[in-house]
Amino acid sequence: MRGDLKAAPPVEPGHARRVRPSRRRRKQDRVAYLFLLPWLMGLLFFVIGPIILSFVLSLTNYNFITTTEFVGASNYKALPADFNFRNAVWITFKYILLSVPIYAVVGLGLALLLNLRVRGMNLFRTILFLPSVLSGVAVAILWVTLLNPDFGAVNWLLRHLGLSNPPRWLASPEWAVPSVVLIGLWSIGGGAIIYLAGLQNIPAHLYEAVSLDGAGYWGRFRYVTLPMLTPTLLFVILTGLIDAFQVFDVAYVLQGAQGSLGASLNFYLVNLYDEAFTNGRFGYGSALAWVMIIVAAAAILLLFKTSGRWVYYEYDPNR
Amino acid sequence: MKRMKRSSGGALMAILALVIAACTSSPSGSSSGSGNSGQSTGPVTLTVWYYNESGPDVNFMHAIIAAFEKKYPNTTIDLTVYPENNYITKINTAFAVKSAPDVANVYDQMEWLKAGKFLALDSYLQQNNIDVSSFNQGVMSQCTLDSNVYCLGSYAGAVVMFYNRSMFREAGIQDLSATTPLSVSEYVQDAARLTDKAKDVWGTAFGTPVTWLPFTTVVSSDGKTATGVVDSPQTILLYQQLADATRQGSAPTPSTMDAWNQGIDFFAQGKLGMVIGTLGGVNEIEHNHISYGVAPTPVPAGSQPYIATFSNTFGVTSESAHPQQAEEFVAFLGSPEAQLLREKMVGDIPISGDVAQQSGWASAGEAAGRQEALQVVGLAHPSVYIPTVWDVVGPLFDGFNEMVGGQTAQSVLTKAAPQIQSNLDRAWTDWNQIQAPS
Repeated sequence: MRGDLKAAPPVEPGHARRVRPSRRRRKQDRVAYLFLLPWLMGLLFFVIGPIILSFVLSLTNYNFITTTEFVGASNYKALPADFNFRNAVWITFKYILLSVPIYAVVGLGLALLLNLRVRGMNLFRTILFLPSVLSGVAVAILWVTLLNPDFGAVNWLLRHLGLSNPPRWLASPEWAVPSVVLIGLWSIGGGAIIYLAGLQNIPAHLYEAVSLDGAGYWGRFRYVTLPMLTPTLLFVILTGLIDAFQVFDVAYVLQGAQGSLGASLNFYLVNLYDEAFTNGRFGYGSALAWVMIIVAAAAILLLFKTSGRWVYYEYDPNR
Repeated sequence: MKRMKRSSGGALMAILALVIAACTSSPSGSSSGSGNSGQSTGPVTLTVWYYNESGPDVNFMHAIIAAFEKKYPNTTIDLTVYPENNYITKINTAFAVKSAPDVANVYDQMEWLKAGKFLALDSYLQQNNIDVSSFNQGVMSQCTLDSNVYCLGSYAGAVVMFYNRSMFREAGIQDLSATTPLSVSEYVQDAARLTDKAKDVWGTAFGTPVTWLPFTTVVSSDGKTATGVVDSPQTILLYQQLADATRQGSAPTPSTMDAWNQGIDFFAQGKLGMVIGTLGGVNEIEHNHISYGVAPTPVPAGSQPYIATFSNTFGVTSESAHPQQAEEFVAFLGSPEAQLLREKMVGDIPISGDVAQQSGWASAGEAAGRQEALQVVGLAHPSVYIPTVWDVVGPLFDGFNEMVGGQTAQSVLTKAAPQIQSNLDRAWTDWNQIQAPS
């Protein structure tokens, strides 16, 4: 193998010579494709097919029980006038605005604490990480009880701390979304572990250098930790953003606990599910799905585009 | 090399065959198929889909199937029970891929009836001299479209108000009428008098008001207009009175108690003076030796009684390959034999008033309360129809929570009215697009 590499002539970019593969190589390729075929068919029938079909459906009035007709862009045009759509967009947007920065900052803070050299730190790390391995449904049911405005543990504590009129949490449309953010905080350990991995990858000599320059704790954080963590921060914000667009299980369970029909936790995907599967408006539901995909993709692209200005890659050859 | 080629080709064909087989095989091995392809003469298996979340109901289904199979030995029933919250989706998707069962619970989906997804039973009922005129009118209105009957049930379930006679006497309140409902203002006044915080007794408990108040408090009598009705002074007053009663402690808040699931339990423990719940709670109340009465649910002052009803309404899907046997099964579910079995096993009131009177349902427990229950159920009548009703009135669920949290009914209902109207317009547009097959 080493000999082959040694013997291979250097290839300059732009001058690669197309070499016709040998018969043996072609046969190997065919066998490889044959083994790949089940996966490719799965991709075709269960991923690409439904994606194309959902776009086609979004241009129809398909609703299970009536004759399907092509309606052009009517489903898309109807969206702005739909209260449930506007409400779902607002709730999801509110959740993104609250959750993404809060989870990013709190996760980082926790990771900094977990990075301290304290006795029993592994135990603390395990305890903090445990909630993030629990199922979202179980967590939601637990928090429905904890956040009960009348006899929940959270309000009991707040009343004992002197707050006579604590929030009604999930029973109040104003507090419902912040409650979901609060519930998500409980599982912040997963994000903190990613930050922790990033923190432990920062070379010690950078801290030594900045300390020699007279930097204190804040200086070390400002000029070493934060810049070196920006790739991790980008990853956490990106996954947080995608997760925020995909809120479903917790909201669905919490909404059920509130009577299943309230609109205060009607996140975008919950609304999409209701429209498509409960109300049977499959064409309209498909239009909702495409709008979400386009908006989410635009948000992710925007994040990537701005990342060049604030994400520092240690080995970035362009810098 | 050739052998390799042949084996590659063979593997490819095998994979393709597997995929095609997987994509085209029937979801069940039953003889039920798509299309109304004629009558079977030999043994027949009927697929029956149903939703339920409680044990006694499922036990009844198994018992009634056993009785049916004994009477019709050539027919076997293949029952599938789904969770209630998935049921509509299951049926809709089955209709979409033409794999619907022979018999299914119609739920409250009049859309299915309008779209011709279920067969009208009138000819069968007429040919077999089955008279449904004594069946509960509230329930039958959910099975009837354009004067055609599409489904039958075995019992008359209803939302009623139970009250504790002993507590009423102690509070100096007269027993309630079984035919004339309280007005909402009388109801909240009685609830305040019955409340005894020292003994942890609430005057009453009720689910979100839209679930038991007449729908005419939300929409016009033709079901088409919500603005000006749900935010009318009359409806605002009703909601404000009920929210105030909750805030003042005469009734538990929705977060303290889910009245639909726990109200009967608390009433049976003597912790509630009144409760709005379903008639199925009678057995539990009697088991706990509570002296109770039954009254219609409160209404706006001067309104007619409104009793929300429900049943296990089954119909024959238009895709059934064995419609005759399927009709026999549905008719059997509505027969006196099935009604009496239901009464015996679950304790429900038979759907036929005549069967209920003859069966002695009223004398099976506390006679006075049960007689009142029969009278109250008899008050049920067809209600204003709203397509996808719970989706349309959704904002009222959060809305009542907001009122209990301190907002005024005026501000909440004024905000909710255009939302409900928007939902309503869309529901009627969808309804109007449904066309029965020619």
